[in-house]
Amino acid sequence: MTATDKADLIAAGMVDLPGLLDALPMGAAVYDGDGKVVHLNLLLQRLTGFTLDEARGLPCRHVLRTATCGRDCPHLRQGGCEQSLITDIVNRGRRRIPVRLHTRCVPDRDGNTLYRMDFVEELVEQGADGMATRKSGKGALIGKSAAMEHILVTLPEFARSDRPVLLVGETGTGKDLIAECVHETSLRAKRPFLRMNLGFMPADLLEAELFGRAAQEGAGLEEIRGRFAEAAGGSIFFPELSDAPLSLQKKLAAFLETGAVVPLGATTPQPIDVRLLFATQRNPDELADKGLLDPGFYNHLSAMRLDLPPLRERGEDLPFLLAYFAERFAERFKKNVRGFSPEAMSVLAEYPYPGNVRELRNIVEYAVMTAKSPLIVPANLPVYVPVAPAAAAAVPPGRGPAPDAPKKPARGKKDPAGKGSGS
Amino acid sequence: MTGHRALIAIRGNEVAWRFDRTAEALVCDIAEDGTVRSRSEIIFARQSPEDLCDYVLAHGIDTVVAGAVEEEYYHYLRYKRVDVIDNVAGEIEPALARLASGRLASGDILFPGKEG
Repeated sequence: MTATDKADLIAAGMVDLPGLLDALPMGAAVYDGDGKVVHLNLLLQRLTGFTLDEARGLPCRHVLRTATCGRDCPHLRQGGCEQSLITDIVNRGRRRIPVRLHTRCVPDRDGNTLYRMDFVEELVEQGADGMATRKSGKGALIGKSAAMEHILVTLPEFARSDRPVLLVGETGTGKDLIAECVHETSLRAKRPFLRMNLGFMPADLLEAELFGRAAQEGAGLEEIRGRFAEAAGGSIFFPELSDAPLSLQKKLAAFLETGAVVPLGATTPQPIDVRLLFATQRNPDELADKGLLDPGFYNHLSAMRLDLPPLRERGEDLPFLLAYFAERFAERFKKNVRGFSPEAMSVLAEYPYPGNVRELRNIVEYAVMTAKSPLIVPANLPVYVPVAPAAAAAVPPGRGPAPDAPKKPARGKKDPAGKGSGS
Repeated sequence: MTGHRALIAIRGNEVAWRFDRTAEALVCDIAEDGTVRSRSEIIFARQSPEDLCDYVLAHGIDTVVAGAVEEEYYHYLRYKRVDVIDNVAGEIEPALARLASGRLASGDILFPGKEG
């Protein structure tokens, strides 16, 4: 058969089009003129979680469920053909997946649109840690302990205000996450959110960086716009309050008082609408007592202060956090890990987590990575997680606790036997 | 008064296909015998899942019905003891009828010809 003959087969419609679409390295959907699904290729079935039988005949918006479905539907704009855009879908597994969407029209011989098609390319969205990002928003704050309930109830109030916020908590307690959450749930959500570390620059450069600097031709200094101007309408988050020199604190206090900044080398105050969010690992009262916090500045921060509890005081939340991170890392590493063995749970329940949720997440990441079975066992935990001896001592067969003995959680111990069974 | 209060995220005359892209909701009080005692439509100032969650918690909603609900909002509502019936595709009335009779489940497809 010649190439021309083969082209004729396509022209005559004798080619297995669904098979061809299934072979594509990206998702593909075919819709009729009403936007109802005619075909989903295998990759898009996997991506959306809909089988072809379920999806066929449904309006495309109920299958693809992109952020642009509805008023911004690319098929409705400018005829809907030949458009590409970056958006996201939420699949049936409740996962939000960033995608690049290409819309195309398939005309008949007379040029009338016969079908519309979407080609869906999954985009990899990763944070610095390799985890899928989009971990802001209240849903990212996991837990049902009284402490977390308090935070979840307080946050909307904080979000509604324009006053500065002070977040106090140990490392890994979620200060950054909550600052981002306050911003994203406020009316400033569509404006910039800048994170500004104060610890690296000398005070004079810091002030220019923050408040801007007027050009000084004689001195050969160029104009600096300043972070406050860049964040106009949004929020600036300072992750460690104690890094702010006293001179800067006084200027920040003046800004909180007047709503204006004076760039270096300028004389006229410039009004700027920016909300300030601060966090610290240290006790702010002690900082104030030691003279490291300007009293006027500290007064401004005291009104909206939120103390974030360490994980060891949120025991109730531990199972949720463990399950949450195990699920996420299992998905990321494509491993069939469904949870933790009772022994591993006991070990993890006893651990004090000095690095709080961040450390817990790292422990779970390691455990999922090294797990060889659907349940994580003590042997999968990093070596620095101490194991109480009780669970380590294997109970000889027939010599377990009496049936009426109080049910106390067993304490796992990592021992060579454990390692053998776990990996 | 027994029964329960439900919020159906809506878009036009359909169950909203994305919870996080919803600015309208139907709030219903459903009696134990399945009678819909009251229904009111709420229009929010913006499409915001945070606003929806706040509304749900502030107004004693027991059940939320929507199409796609991203996991973070799903878990958040579940932790707040709110039932979430998600992945529902269909028009409002059939969804409400099933909900009232206690037969609506996550993943239900209710468009004509597709009812399970």
